[in-house]
Amino acid sequence: MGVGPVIELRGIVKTYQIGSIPVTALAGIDLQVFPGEMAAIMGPSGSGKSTLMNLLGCLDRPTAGEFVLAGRRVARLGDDQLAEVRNRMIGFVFQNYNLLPRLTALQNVELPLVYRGGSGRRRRAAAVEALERVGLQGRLHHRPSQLSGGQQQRVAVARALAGRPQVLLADEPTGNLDTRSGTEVMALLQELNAGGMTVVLVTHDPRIAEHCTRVVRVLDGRIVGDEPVADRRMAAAGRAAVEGEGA
Amino acid sequence: MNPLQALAMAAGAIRGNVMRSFLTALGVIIGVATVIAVVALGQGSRQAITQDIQGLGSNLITASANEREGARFTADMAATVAGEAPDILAATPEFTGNVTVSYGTQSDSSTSVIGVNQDWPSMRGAHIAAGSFFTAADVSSAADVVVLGQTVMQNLGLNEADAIGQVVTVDTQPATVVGVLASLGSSAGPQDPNEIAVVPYTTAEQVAQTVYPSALLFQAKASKDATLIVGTLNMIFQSMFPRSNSVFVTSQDQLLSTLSSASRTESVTLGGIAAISLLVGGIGIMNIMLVSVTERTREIGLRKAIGAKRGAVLLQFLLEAVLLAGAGGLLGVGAGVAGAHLLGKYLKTTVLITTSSAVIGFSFAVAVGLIFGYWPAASASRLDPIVALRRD
Ligand SMILES: Nc1ncnc2c1ncn2[C@@H]1O[C@H](COP(=O)(O)OP(=O)(O)OP(=O)(O)O)[C@@H](O)[C@H]1O
Ligand SMILES: [Mg+2]
Repeated sequence: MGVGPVIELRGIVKTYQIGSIPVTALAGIDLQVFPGEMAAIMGPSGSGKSTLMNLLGCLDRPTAGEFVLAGRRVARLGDDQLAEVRNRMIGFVFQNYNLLPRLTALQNVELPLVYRGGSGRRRRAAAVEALERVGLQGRLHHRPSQLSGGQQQRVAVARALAGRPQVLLADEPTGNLDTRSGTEVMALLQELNAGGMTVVLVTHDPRIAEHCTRVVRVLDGRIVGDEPVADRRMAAAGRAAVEGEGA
Repeated sequence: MNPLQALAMAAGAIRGNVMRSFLTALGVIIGVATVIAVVALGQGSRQAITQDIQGLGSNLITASANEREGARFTADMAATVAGEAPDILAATPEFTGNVTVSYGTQSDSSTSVIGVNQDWPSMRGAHIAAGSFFTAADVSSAADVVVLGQTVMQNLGLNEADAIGQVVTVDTQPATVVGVLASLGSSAGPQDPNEIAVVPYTTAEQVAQTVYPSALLFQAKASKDATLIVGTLNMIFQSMFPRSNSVFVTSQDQLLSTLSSASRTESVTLGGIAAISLLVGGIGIMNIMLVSVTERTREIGLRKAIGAKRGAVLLQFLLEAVLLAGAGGLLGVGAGVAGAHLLGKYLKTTVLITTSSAVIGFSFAVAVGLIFGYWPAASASRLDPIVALRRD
């Protein structure tokens, strides 16, 4: 078991219609991501990285092509079925965190579980556990405005984790963070990956990409390169180095 | 998602912006309060009028002659007519006039004198406070006796203990006080119902200087017979006074039913006002909910992105509208009750607040929330997560 890909894209095309002009964001993507991988998607601005991530996250549907997520064809599912897939199989981390400002960290993390249903006590326990995993057990009742950017992104990671998804998707998770907070988030993602979680992230930063096991390069809606990372950078060491500098 | 969670979310959104929520609900608050207050005043005055009419006597039927049409009653007609119609318990002619009653140096110059027979108290629902009412013998012998109303008694400087047996002057005619009436709560007209002197009709000719009774009073055995009796009486009077509109026969029931049809019209008008004010309140709620959906597009996108189905988003926003409207309804009921009491005090009228008007007012508010909240909630639920998340 565990040999099949968790993500399989075949001939994925995404065309946006702007007035009468069709804009092709993805022009035929074939991609397989296997369990336990940590893949970085890189490419210049406008190359289609976010479009691809949104398809992987079941936030959007392809114009053509086949998407099999954990053995399930999801390209033609209805709205509510996609919502169900997003809720149970995917954890999504956004560049700008997207936390709800009126809710506490704990309530934000609980939210996906609220939509899943089930008992309040189990939900709370799972949310607390997820916040502990991202190192925020001391910030359960803080609101996003009372947290730093790095902490907010860690809350967002906890929210993505709380539902125990098959894959964790992150579109420029460190894009809004300084080097130090970025490194912290990468350390967290590496730690989760080491625990078996499949991670796909988008980044502009080659240093961030070096934290992954594999780099997929996209240009004009096509995959133009796909290779393993030879000398993987470990963020925990980097964090120690940063802290060493500060001392 | 369970409904309690949705409720908590909706309540959270409302608490998050108390002032705006209050202003949003204000239309509904005012609408419900107006309806509650106006209904309370309307029902109060209706109750007062109903009691007045019922206070006129039990199962009383009044026949009045229209002198301009040449109709004139005579005193013996009461008994004659009563003999021809079925189910009549008692009948009396009624002479009326204005007199001055004096006793010693005291006098009451605006007394209504009423000349009737011994059956009048039971027909009119009047009680005797002191002494007794005059008897059939007093009527047939045209005795110079009088029964005073409370106001006249007081104006003459008398009280219930010492009034009986005193001789008063009714205009120029001396009369012995044999009884004092207990206070009558209501009258058919605007005058004080207690400023009266009741005498045997046989003496009314002298004291009131009226030759003809102004009305004939009949008492039906039971109120259900009243309509039938009114019909029979109309036929009898028709044969006596062939010109149309010369005699006017009314029963208490007819007055009550006239009143209730008037209050039906009033209810319809009120219903219209209520509908319009709640419509305005509903539009206010819909407007703010639409604004809120637009403002919270990102929130909705995020909720959908992490797994909220259409129904969950719909429920959340619909509940928000219903909670707003429901809270507005509750506040409106409170404000309406308080306002009705204040108005009642200020206008010195009866107010009658019924549970049903409060319940109906509140239910309408909730219904308004449901109806006007549905569209914004539905449009929120249909948002595409990716479009919603991209917007800022
Ligand atoms: N909603 C949309 N409507 C029309 N065109 C779109 C839409 N979203 C993306 N595009 C187009 O699709 C192409 C790919 O966009 P995408 O956002 O995926 O790029 P990206 O690689 O994420 O860029 P960046 O690095 O700047 O985030 C672009 O040409 C963009 O203009
Ligand atoms: Mg992008």
